[in-house]
Formats: sequence, C-alpha cells, structure tokens
Amino acid sequence: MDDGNEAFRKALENGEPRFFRASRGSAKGKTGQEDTARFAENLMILQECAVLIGEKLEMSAVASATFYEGEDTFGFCFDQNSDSQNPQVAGAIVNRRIPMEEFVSSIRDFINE
Amino acid sequence: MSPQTLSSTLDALKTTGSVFGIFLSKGESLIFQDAPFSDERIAELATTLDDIALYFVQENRSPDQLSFGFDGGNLLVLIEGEHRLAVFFHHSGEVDLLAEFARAFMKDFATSVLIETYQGGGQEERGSQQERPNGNTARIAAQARRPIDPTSPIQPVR
Repeated sequence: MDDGNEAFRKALENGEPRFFRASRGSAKGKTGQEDTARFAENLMILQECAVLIGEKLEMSAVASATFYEGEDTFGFCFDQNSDSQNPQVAGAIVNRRIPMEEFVSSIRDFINE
Repeated sequence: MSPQTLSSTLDALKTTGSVFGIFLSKGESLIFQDAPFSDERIAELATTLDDIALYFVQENRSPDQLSFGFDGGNLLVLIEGEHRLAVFFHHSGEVDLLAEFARAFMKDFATSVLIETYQGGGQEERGSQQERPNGNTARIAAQARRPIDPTSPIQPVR
C-alpha cells in the first residue's frame, strides 16, 4: 500500500476519509497511486452493481452508492453541479465503519468545497 | 424461525420510516416478499443480487451491507451467507436506522437457520450456486478486470 504517502498514512491513523474525484477517464486522489487505483476499481464495481439493479427496478440514475466490507466503508456520489456531458463523481474510502448517511454527507461536503 | 415470526418481523420492518418494500432471499429463491413490484421483477432482482454476491465471493471479497440511492428511491441490501435482505425506502437519511433493524433481523434469522440445520431440519444446498452460469457476475468481473490505474477510463452510469 501507499505507506510512504503522508496523506494516506495520516488518514489511516486518524480514521479519516480519503477523498477522490473521478470523471471520464481518470480518478484523482491525494493518497497515492495504489489507493487511487483501489478507489477506481471499487467505483467501477459499485457502478456496475448499481446499473444492474437499476435496470431491474427501472431506476436508471444512481445518485450515490455505499458499502461496508470488513472494517472499511467505501462509496461515491455524483456531483450534481457537474456538466451533464462530463459527469463528475466524488467518493471516499475510510478504514472504519461509519454511518452511511454521515459518510455520504462527507462526500457531498467534499464536492461542495 | 417460524414463517409467522419471519413474516411478522419483516412486516414490522416494512412499517418503519419510509420503507415501501422488502424481500428476503436465499440464493435466487425468494423466502419473503412484500414490495410494490411485479413478482417477475422481484425474482429478477433477487437473481441480480445473488449474482452480485457471487461475484464478490469469487473475488474473495465480503461486503455485507450495500446502499444505493436512485432517483426514485433507495435500496439497502444486507448479505449474510446465501441470504440477502433488500429494503426499499424513500428517505435516504433513514439508512443507518433501517440497517440496524435489518441487521438485528438477519442475525436472528441466521441463528435460526443454524439451529434448524443442526437439528437436521435444514435443506442446505451449498455449492450449487457456485456452478451456475452467470451473465451478471461475468459482467461485473469484466468491468472490474479492465486495466485499472489511476487514469483508467471509468464508465459513467447510464
């Protein structure tokens, strides 16, 4: 893992969310390549799950998605202020289970920063 | 857990907050459903959730609680072994409260399944779902196995 990345190490130590942004073609974060790649992988999986479920429910637009795995919380939200031709996503990973509503709110705060 | 207990417990969950639908499944098989969707659609969704759970098993991953916020409502999914509980609700702010109730139910339910199995009453069919050809699992896997680096393309949700 990105142990050498100061932001990554600090976030793990303090149990703070590591935030990322993604738009067509790229994901960006401040906690190192490996952590950003992990976010990108989880984002693609969760988006595909949302698409599969949305197809069955005829609810095609997913605004946010979150999951718990082990002691990690992962999730993303669409940035509603972004250009519809180039939708932006923000998301986070945190190394503890925090309430999902609080987690999604923290991503929305990050979007509005 | 008797069918009556199961039904009354899930009925109570159904009347909590803004919940408007629930189903409980084992693999692809529905155990309980009370949701404003056709039987066919619920059956398809149960299969989809099973595919998603199976994908994670195949990847040695184990998410146990997922939540999706769609335009028309929210979906909370709990995964406990082969069992999945899906809760449809309107107000996203209720997700943690509903998850707490749902998790308590799943814990009781899992315990009763264990007891029934121990007493010889369970009809476990472990392993059968691992061999089922599965398009959705392959679809998720294909998505996840695309070359990934921090600048790799990310599919926008339709």
